[in-house]
Amino acid sequence: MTTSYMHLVRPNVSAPAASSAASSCNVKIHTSALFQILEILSKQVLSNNSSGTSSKRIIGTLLGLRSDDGSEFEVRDAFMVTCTETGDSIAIDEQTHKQMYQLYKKAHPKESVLGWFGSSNQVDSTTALIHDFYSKGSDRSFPYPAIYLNVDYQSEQDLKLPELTTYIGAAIAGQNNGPTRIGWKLINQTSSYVFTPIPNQVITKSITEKLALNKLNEIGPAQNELLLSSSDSSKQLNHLTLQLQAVGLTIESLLNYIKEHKNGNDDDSIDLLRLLSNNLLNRPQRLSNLEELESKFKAYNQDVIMIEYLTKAVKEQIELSARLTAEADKK
Amino acid sequence: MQSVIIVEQELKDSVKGYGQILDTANENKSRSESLDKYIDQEGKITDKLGLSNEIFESIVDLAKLSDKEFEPTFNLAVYILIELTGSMTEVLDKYPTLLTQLTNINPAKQPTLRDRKSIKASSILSLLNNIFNFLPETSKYRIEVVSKILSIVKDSQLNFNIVSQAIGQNLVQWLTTAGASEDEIRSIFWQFISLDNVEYSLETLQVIKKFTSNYKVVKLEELHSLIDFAFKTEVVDVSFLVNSNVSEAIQQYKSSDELVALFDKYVHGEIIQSPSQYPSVTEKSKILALTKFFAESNGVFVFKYADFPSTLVSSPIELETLLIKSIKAGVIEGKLNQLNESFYLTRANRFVLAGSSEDNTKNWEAVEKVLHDWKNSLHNIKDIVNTSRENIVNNQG
Repeated sequence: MTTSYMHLVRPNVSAPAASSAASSCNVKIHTSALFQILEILSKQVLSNNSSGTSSKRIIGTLLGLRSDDGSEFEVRDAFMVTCTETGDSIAIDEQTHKQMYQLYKKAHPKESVLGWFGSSNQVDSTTALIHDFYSKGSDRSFPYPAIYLNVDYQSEQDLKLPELTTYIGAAIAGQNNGPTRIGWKLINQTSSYVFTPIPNQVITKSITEKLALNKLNEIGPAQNELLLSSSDSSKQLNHLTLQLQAVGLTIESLLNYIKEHKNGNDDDSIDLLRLLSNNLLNRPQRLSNLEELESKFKAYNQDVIMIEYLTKAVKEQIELSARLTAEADKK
Repeated sequence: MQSVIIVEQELKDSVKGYGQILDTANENKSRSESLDKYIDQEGKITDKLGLSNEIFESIVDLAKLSDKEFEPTFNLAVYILIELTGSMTEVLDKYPTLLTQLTNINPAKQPTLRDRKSIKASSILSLLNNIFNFLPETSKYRIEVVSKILSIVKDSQLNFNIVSQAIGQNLVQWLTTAGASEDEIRSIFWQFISLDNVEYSLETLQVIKKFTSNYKVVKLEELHSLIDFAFKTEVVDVSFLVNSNVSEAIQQYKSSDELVALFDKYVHGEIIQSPSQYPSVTEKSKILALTKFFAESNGVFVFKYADFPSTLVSSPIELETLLIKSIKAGVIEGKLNQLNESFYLTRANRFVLAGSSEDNTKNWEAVEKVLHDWKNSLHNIKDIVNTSRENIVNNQG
């Protein structure tokens, strides 16, 4: 994907535990975390306002994992933190943040605060103040650098598809009020940052999650409940039938595309031909030979049954052996 | 999406802070005193132009700072200059040598591990990165910044991975939006490609492919650069590089240029003798010749050792090695049976090249036939699965 900004190496940040290695940063946002953030925004802003636009600032904490060198961030969850904005100043409910984080930490001991999210349509001095809050102090990103995820969903008058932008705050040297010797500690005394955009991508946590998402996308909400509650054995091959239909439709549309484009000499057609030729031609046609397919499927089933049987037998043997040893010890 | 500087203090304080940092580096108070002249007793800046000139002149002194202090201080200098002049574009309009001054600070040699103070090339890159992001997308200065970044990576012999993804995917789009001429785009693009001189990676080959799809290969030197990369890379099957534009260029130069003729033979799967500068090409061409042999043997999937042409290999051990190398290169898939002295093929690459319309028509027909067969066979799968399931249930019962 092309972007209008550049990100080569992580800039110099003021966090003491930041690695000195020159590497780029990347933020991975789990779909569940993104849903959480969008839900917070929609509940707080959209429900209170008929036009959907609001100047009220909504912020929250990003939670998840960071790599050892601090270049990879994995956002796994998020919660909202209340804040009150009056003029140029902002008051963040620190106590709520602390309690929510400690509660989360009990269930996810390996995860920590990565930074924060907001829904502003511009980066301003308040952004720097909030970033400063998350960059310093305990139960926040400190001693690692904080990241800032902005979800911009407002156009001038109306709503738009949320645009995700992630930033890291590079350090700016501040006024030195101390002794003449400039040490690292004296730099960045004020909440001053260069907000540099860094790449992000939305990822799904597991294949199961992805399947469920695809399923929810395929059918309407009214049918979802029916599907989830259905456990009738006669419907067990439903999934297979659906998948076969899907493959059939894909092949059909591919054939139609080929019919229209096979005489074209453009690079895209040649690339498609190369992909299809490399993967389909010179392959044993197992699928078209039904007898062979049936025998292979049976053989595969036999293998699975055999492995299950052997696993069960070995397990029983181990249990028996353990019982015998225990009995022998008693005597 | 641009970088944004937010500084939570008044401009005069930033100027004073900047002066103090430089005084510490210079071990005197001269810079603070000269900067103070531009701020009156009420804290107002009296001569903006004079102050910005003074800040610009002081940038050379930043080279005396340590690596950790250098980047934040340069950011502060940029902030002050932007505040005094209006925007990054106006700063560069007024001080066109700013980028050169910054790149001059780049160390000629990489600092040693013991040296923790010297300014690193990565800090200069980070600052150029910031300047690039401060500039609007249409600013012509973006072209200069990209050129400077590439020259720093080259001069400091930095790892190509630093720029490969970040620049490779976006370079042409950035340059086009910034209003670069076609010649400039070509020159900067091949300068970027020449930086990948260790790994010769597949990603860079894909970048070349994307570029040549949009821009015709007009000069022989460009075609030479492409061939040079294709011969040096570990990727064996580079047929994807031959799109319409490259194919045209090959047809134009193959009769007059030896290297182009050699490349043409290579992508068609002929065994070629390595030129002295490309020692691995013969080995790679043998792998492609073997792939071509498989691709042409339609409908046959089991091959005895004796079936392979003697021009490819002279002994069974050599054949086995070649087969394993081909599997490793990803051009074929299959199983080798040493006891039976046979090879069971499950997949082989085809040489699909732009410009050879006859072969491509045949390939399209073959693909269509396979897809039709596949579609027809899908109908009975459900029955097979159902029958097998019932059999298992009945047998267990």
